[in-house]
Amino acid sequence: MYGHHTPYIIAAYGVSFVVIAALIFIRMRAHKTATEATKRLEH
Amino acid sequence: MWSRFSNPAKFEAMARVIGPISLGVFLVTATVGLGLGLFYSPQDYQQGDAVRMMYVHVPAAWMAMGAYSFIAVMSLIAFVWRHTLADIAARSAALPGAVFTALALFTGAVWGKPTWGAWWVWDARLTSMLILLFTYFGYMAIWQSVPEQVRAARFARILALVGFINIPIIKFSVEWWNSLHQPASILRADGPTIHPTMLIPLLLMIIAYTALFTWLVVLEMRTSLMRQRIEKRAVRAPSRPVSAGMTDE
Repeated sequence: MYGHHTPYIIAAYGVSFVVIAALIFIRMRAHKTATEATKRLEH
Repeated sequence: MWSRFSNPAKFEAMARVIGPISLGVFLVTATVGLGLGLFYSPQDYQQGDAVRMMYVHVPAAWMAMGAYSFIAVMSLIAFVWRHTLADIAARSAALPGAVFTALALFTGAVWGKPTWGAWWVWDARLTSMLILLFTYFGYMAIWQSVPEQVRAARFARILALVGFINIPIIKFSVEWWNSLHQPASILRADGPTIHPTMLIPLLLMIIAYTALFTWLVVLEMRTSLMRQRIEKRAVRAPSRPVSAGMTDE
């Protein structure tokens, strides 16, 4: 699609996407864990 | 002014508004920006399609410096005004900042190979960005390694403020020293030198990364405040296993 630049573009966008998705996942999981622990405390 | 933001309850109320708005802005601008950048923006007359890496490299580099500037400002506020949430805000920004710096270095290397013919050169801009990444690692290591939080906060603030000297060095490195890296093409006195067909997707991606950073920091600050409340209750009632499941990070 982008000629001989295709592998570089796939690498740049692919790694950015995966790393950002992993960061979002880590932060959301930590938030969920803390929220559940808070709820357990309140009950 | 600062006292308004130092109240965790008021912050919580604000975060419930800022968080979803930031997430929404991120999703919309990232979708449109990626669509325009990958499919509608033209090729560069010299670089060809390699220019499309700009839409993920430049926003990551801007946020790498922006996140560190945020940490430095929060550290200064914590130092001067003993702001309750400033240290939490600074600490919450460290991981996203480090990730953006690593992404800027990686996408820069991948962009450098087809345009410069090298993955890496010990150029002033690249080297100062690498130092920024190590500064982020050092900042996070202090919070993890110093057991007393008061002392950890003091050391972390000092490192954040001393390390801030690197930010203008990164920004002006392309003007102060001979560099392979191109000079600024957006923030210039005579206006941007990029054509609107490339500038618009680039600005959308910068907004997307900024919104993502805002959302991640606000989310982590809320998580940290919850952890603090849980720990305080655990101290009051040590027999209850309240910290179970809280060691996942």
